[in-house]
Amino acid sequence: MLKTLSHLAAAIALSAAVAAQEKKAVTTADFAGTWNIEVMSHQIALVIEPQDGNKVTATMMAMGRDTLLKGELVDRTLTLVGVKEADAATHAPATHDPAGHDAAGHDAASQQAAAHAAEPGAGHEAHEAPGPKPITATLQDDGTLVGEMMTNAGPAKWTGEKLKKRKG
Amino acid sequence: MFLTQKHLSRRTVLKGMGATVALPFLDAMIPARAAFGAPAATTSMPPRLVCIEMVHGAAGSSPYGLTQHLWSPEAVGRDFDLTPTSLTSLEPFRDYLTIVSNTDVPSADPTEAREIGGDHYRSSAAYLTQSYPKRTDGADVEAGISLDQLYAQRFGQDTPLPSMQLCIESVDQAGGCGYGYSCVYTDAISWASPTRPLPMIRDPRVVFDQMYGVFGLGATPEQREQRRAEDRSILDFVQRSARRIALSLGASDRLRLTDYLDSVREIERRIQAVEARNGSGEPRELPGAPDGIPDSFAEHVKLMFDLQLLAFRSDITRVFSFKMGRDTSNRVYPDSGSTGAFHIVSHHGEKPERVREFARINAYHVSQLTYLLKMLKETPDANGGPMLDNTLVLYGSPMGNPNQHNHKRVPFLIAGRAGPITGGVHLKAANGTPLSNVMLSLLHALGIDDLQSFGDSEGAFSWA
Repeated sequence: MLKTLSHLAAAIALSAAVAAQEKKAVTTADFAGTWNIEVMSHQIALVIEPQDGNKVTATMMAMGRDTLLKGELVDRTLTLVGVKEADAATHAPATHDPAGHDAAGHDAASQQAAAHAAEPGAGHEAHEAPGPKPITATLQDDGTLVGEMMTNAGPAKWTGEKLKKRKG
Repeated sequence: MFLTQKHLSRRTVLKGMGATVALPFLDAMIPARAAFGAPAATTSMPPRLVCIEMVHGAAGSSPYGLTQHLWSPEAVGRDFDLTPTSLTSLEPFRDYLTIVSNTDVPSADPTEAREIGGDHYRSSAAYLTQSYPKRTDGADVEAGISLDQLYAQRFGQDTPLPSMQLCIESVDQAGGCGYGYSCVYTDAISWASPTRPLPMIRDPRVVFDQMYGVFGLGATPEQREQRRAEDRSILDFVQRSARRIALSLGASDRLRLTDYLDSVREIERRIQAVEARNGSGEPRELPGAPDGIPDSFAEHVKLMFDLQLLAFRSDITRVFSFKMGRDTSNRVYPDSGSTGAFHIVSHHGEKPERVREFARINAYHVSQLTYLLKMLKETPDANGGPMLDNTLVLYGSPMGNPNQHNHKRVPFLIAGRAGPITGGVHLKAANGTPLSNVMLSLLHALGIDDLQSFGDSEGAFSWA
């Protein structure tokens, strides 16, 4: 009986170890796709593309502006920094917004945060990258992302969900 | 019931120079056979439908608001308590209320990277269509046919106007409104086809003229303008016709006709008063708005509800859509108890005190409904019962928690009765139920029972 119990305990310990190992087995492929990021009541798109090994490239799209990023996966967390290149030409022009959505709808702090949310290292000139504060993105067990990014209102936590495909 | 020798057609109108005034339902319009004991169904009419959209979701859709039941009541079923919710003003009508909670509008969700963040600019198009609005700021707009139009196309052909579309906030912005979406998606909630959004009318004068001055005899714009300049009533033009018809009516019908014409005149007077006030040169709260549009939100809504009731009484149309707000509007509603701007307050940051402030605005908007519901309850229908017994008033928003711009657990309620929808109940949908399921079953209840699907519906919704 004792022998059976000890075998059972060993099996449980082994499966727990395997589960822990499986939990750690996160690859850049798990981040691949389009994420709907929510930061300070704003929604931002983060499109992540896996590259070789633990490297990724990404595009952050906020209010018609694209910011190119590159990053590296360590454990379950991606660390993304801005790409410094002649990328200004690749940035889409700001979307015309006659309704004045963001100017009207958000307080000054969050407006600034939004304007700079896609800018790693806020406080620097737009698109001057990499900044001192990278964007982090950690994969959760439920498949969502959590992370932090610097905004003009200071560091802000964000959450993200992978974009669902449209039915039909 | 007083039966006269003369039978009047339901389509009898009072005619005058450039004016056509439809009549309310009169005993004289009941066919003799029906009056002498034929089944009530002989004189029954398809239910009337009012589809109201309010933008920016509800405080009760936020995580905090859900725990505090700031939109829908905690109890499911018939023993619900409206006290903590934004619906408290509807307590006198609880027997007519069907509150449907916990549904989503996934057709308003983004499906591509470029659509993320553009929720304000596509939500309204998804509300009554429950269809995904194609992202474009060109003329190639596309969503789906809306609930009101499906109904109007099936049952609206018997009335002079199959449907009418009204709104409160400024519309008609051309081009793109944001995130690559045409302003049409923000401005219109009624879609006659997936590619044909219908314009909304904001000016009560235009609604009035469409109801009484335009159709039928084809009054020209010049005639209407002249009539306005003369500051005369539309009734002045149909006086002779009214007197002639009154002679053939019984006493109760004459009273009904007089009461109805008094209502027409009263509303016309209010429209004229607004125009006079706004045309006086005094500073306005809504600078740039046409003279016919009241500065006061409540006054404007009331006037629009009065016009809807008049249209129902005279059977000019049985279908209205009514857009009470516009996405990203920063209108202030001082009577709500909040002095904050609508859109800004809706971004409550999940802070309890700010969520509650937003709930006060929600409650204020809902309280506007009581005026219409009271009138519908007090106005007798053709069968003598309350008009509200054969009318459905839908009120809701395609957005859930505005702080996240999501479309989950959206606010939605139905007031009135039609078919299996009898009121007095709070129904909580299973998690993930699309609102389109509810709208599909609504259309079944309205008589379109052969409809298999609506928008992105996955099945019917049970009213039990």
